[in-house]
Amino acid sequence: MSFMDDVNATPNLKGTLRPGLQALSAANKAHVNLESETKLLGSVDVDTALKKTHPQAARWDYVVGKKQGESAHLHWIEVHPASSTGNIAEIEAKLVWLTGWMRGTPLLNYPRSVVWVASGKSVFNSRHPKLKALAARGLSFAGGHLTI
Amino acid sequence: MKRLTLKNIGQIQEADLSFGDLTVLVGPQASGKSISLQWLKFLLDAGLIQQQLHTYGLDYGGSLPDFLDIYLGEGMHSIWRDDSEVRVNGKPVDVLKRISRQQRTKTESVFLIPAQRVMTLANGWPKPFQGYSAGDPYAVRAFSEKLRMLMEREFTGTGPLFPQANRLKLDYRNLLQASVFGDFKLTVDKVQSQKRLVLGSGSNHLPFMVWSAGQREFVPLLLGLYWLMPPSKVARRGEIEWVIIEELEMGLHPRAISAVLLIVLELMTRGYKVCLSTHSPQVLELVWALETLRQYQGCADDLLDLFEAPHTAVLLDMANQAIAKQSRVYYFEPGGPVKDITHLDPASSVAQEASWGGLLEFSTRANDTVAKVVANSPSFALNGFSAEGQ
Repeated sequence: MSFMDDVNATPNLKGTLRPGLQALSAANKAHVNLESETKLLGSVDVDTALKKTHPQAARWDYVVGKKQGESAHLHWIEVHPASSTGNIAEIEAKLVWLTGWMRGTPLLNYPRSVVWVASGKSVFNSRHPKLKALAARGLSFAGGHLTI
Repeated sequence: MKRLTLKNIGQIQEADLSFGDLTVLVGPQASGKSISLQWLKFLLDAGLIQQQLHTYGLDYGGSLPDFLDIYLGEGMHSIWRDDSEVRVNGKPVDVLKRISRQQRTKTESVFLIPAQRVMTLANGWPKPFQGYSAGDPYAVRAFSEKLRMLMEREFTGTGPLFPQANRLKLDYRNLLQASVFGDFKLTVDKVQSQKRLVLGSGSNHLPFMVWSAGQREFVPLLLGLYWLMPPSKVARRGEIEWVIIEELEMGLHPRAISAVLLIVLELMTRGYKVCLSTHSPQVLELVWALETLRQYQGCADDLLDLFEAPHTAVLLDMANQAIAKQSRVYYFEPGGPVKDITHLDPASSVAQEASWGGLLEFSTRANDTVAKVVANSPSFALNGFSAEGQ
């Protein structure tokens, strides 16, 4: 099964895979840099795709597939403000939702990075204990720019 | 001086430094931070430096290479090349002329506390200027001599040097006592007529070599602070306007660094312009907080909370003034131009600013490593609960 097949096999994501970073809004795309050798397998706007079926959920923004050898590595990207400590609880809620939702999908089987990208100025630096607590739950904080 | 520009000097390709009330230099070892600060001292205190070198029989004969070997230390003549340049406030400085002509002004406007300060008390008492070898940097010798003068002129009586009622405000003394000295007092005793500094608790007196590394590093810094804050109602010592402290964090626990940083704010509110070189992210945390407090109208209480300091009237007044001060942070990148990273925005697209001049790199990598391992572990998906339930 390819990444595309698994996206299509995921409930409510059928037909949502877009080439490259096209699933990302222009504003959010500006926060993602691609290394010259990176080969993308496409991206999905998870948030929009699941809006109807999970209207009240703290939905995650995107998943981006990157070719890694013969397989794929998935970047689960949330572009979210990092302008106050209140944002930590919002991200925690999204992370809880993501892990729970992912459990019922074939996308769980891929190696992954789960990343919070600051949408504006950040009040957190990497020494912040809350960021370390999030790291211990599997979430990286990329600052304002993620390079994949 | 508002702006100092150094080009093609030693490791420095170009450093264009505009000074704030607090200016912090960060960067790897041997990237030019210390050299820049010593140039600042030289350019402002050339007359005094010439006089001291002459008084102690150090003759450079008008030669720039010889002067640099004496002033910066043996072998340092090599930092100056044909294309080297120094500018002050945008105007070029004829360095050779500056060192070869006797400068009229002999006052001291820059007080430099060097990174090698622990050497000054190697025998438990400050060494005099001429107690060093000719190849030792001027900054160490001059600082050591200043401490010797302080001890001879201002600590002739009995009683401890720390804590002492008329030196440092009570709030600072309490913080330093708790974070650096514990139950000990800094006093002077004699061994066969030779005075020495000791840390005493009851009848037990510990000589210099028995002190903790942090105490050995801190006591010369403390004496330097005593020099800068005389026990009178005068805010500053003599004509001194600038204070340079190299690596104030050396040997100190974060709580002690915090106490010293609070005293740095006190120096700023006394009207000193303070320049620090550092490898400590904690120092940049302070600048980051100060800049944010100023930008978002934070108050003195917020600043004192950062230090877990008591909200006394004295400290509130100091903190109020400190928030209004301007800070600058520069990153010395080996082989590249010095970068202004004052905003210290962790989300900045400029990598050097986001990583605070590399001081956050390891912390970021540690977070990423932990996150990667956890995100790919079998237990990751057990973090959450069923999406259908939401």
